[in-house]
Amino acid sequence: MPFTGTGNPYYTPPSGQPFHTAGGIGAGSIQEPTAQAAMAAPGVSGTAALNDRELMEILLVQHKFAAQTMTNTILESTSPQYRQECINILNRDFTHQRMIWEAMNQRGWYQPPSPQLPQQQQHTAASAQWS
Amino acid sequence: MHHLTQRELLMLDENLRLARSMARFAQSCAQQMTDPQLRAICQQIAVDHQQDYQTLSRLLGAQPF
Repeated sequence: MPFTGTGNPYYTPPSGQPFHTAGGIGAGSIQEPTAQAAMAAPGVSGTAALNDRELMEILLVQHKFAAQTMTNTILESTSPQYRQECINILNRDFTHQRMIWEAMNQRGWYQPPSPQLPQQQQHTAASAQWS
Repeated sequence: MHHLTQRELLMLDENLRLARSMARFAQSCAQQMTDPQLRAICQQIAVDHQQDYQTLSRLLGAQPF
């Protein structure tokens, strides 16, 4: 059964292609998510350049996805060396995610939701009780 | 090195592709962004993912075929 990936939006698995080799990348059809490609994506009006905020949003989503993928890899690994390397990569992903988030937050591009007021919390709890 | 299972090889292959894609996208962002601080962040991310790619490539290269 051919490998169909696990949901990576940027990866189209090559049919019948072997794994990568250390010496280079195979001839699989990888859709590189360059910023230029994102501009030309269907549904994007014209070829207007993505702004800094939009590019940072894509980077943030990428890192969340990468962290989830790497977590699955670690959970499934049996090789101690492979597992440790993946843990190191995952920790870097977390660091990147934090850097991206902080940069966005400083610019007001990613504001965490404000906490509920006590009055609102009581109202929510009461609604839940009678629903 | 401990031999990787078929499942591990499949996941390694996917992670390898992901690392390369992310490195190239971050590099592309570093060239296009207007904010110098954001450009620096993207450049650092690109370098780190290139290193991840090389690390994963070494692991795959150590496997018998």
